[in-house]
Amino acid sequence: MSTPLEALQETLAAEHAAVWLYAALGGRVPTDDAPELRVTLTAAYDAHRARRDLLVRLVRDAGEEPVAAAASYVAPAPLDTVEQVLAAAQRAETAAATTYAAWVASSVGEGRRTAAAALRDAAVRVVGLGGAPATYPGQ
Amino acid sequence: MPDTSPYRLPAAPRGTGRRRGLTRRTALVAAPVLGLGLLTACDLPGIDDGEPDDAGATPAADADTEADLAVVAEAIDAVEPVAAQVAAAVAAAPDLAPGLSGLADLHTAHLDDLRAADAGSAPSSSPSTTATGVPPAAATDPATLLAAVRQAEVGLAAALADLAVDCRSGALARLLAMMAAGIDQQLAAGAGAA
Repeated sequence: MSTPLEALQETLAAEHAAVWLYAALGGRVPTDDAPELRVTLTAAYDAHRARRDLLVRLVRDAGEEPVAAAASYVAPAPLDTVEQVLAAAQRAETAAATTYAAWVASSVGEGRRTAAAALRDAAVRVVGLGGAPATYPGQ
Repeated sequence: MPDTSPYRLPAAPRGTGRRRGLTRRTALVAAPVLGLGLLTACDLPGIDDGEPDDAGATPAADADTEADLAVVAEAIDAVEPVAAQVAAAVAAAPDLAPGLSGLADLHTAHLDDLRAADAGSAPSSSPSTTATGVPPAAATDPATLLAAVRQAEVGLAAALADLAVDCRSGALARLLAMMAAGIDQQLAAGAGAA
C-alpha cells in the first residue's frame, strides 16, 4: 500500500490525465449533436480540474513538489461517435473511482474524508455517463 | 517509453487472497474481504498470518483491531435498519419492488460481508431482515415510502463514509467508502425516486 504522500501523488497524476482526457473528449462532441453529453463532460472536466488543484495544494502542504502532467497522453480510439465518447468517459471515471478508493486506503482523517468524497463523486458520475451501479464502486 | 494513456490510472492495491491457517482474530476482520481482496491480515495491526494471536502483537495494535471490529459492528447496525426499511416498503407496496431491488441486493451483499467480519462477536441487537422478518412500514403511500427510503439511504451513505474516516485500517476504510459509493450509485440510477 502506498504511503499517504505517494497516494496523493498517484491520485494527482491520475487527475492530470483525467483533465486532459475530458478536454479531449469535449472537443469530440459537437454541441448541436449531444448537448446533454457536452454539459456532462464539461461538468466532469471542471470537477477533475478542481480536484487536481486541490491535490496540488495538498502535496505542497506536505512539503513535496507536485507531480507534473505528462508531456503527452494517448487518446483512446476510436472517438468517432457520441457512444464512443460516452464509453471512454465511463471507463475513465471508473478508473478514477479505483484511484480514489486507493487514496481512501492510504489516507487518514480529513484527507481520507476528501478521498471518500472523491470516490463517491466519481461513482455517481459513472452512472450519469450510463454505467451500471456496482456493489463496490472503485474495487 | 512509459504508457501515458489516460486509462492507465493508478490502480488500487489488491489483497493477497485466501490464506491457510487463519486465526480466529484474523478471520474476524479478514473474512469478508478475502473474496474482495481488500482486507488482509497485514492490513490490520495485531493481525497475524497463523501465529498465535499474541505473538508479536502489541497492546496498541490490539486496540486498533478492536476499534475496527467496533466500526464493523457499527456499520452493521447502520445498514440493517435501512435494509429492513427497504424490505418493508416493498412489502407495503409491491409495485416498488423493481425500483428498489438494486438497493435491496446491495444491502444484502454488504451485510453478508460485514457479518462475516463480525462473526464470533456478540450478535447485533438491531432488527435484521433475515432474522426477524420485515417490520411493517409506517406508511403505505408509495411516494411517501420512496421518499422515506431515499432519505434513509442518503443518511446511510453519509454514515458509512463517516465510519470510513473513523476506522484504523485503510483497507476497511476503503471497503466502507465503497459501500457508501454503491448506495450513491443506486440513488443516482433512480432507486428510490418517485
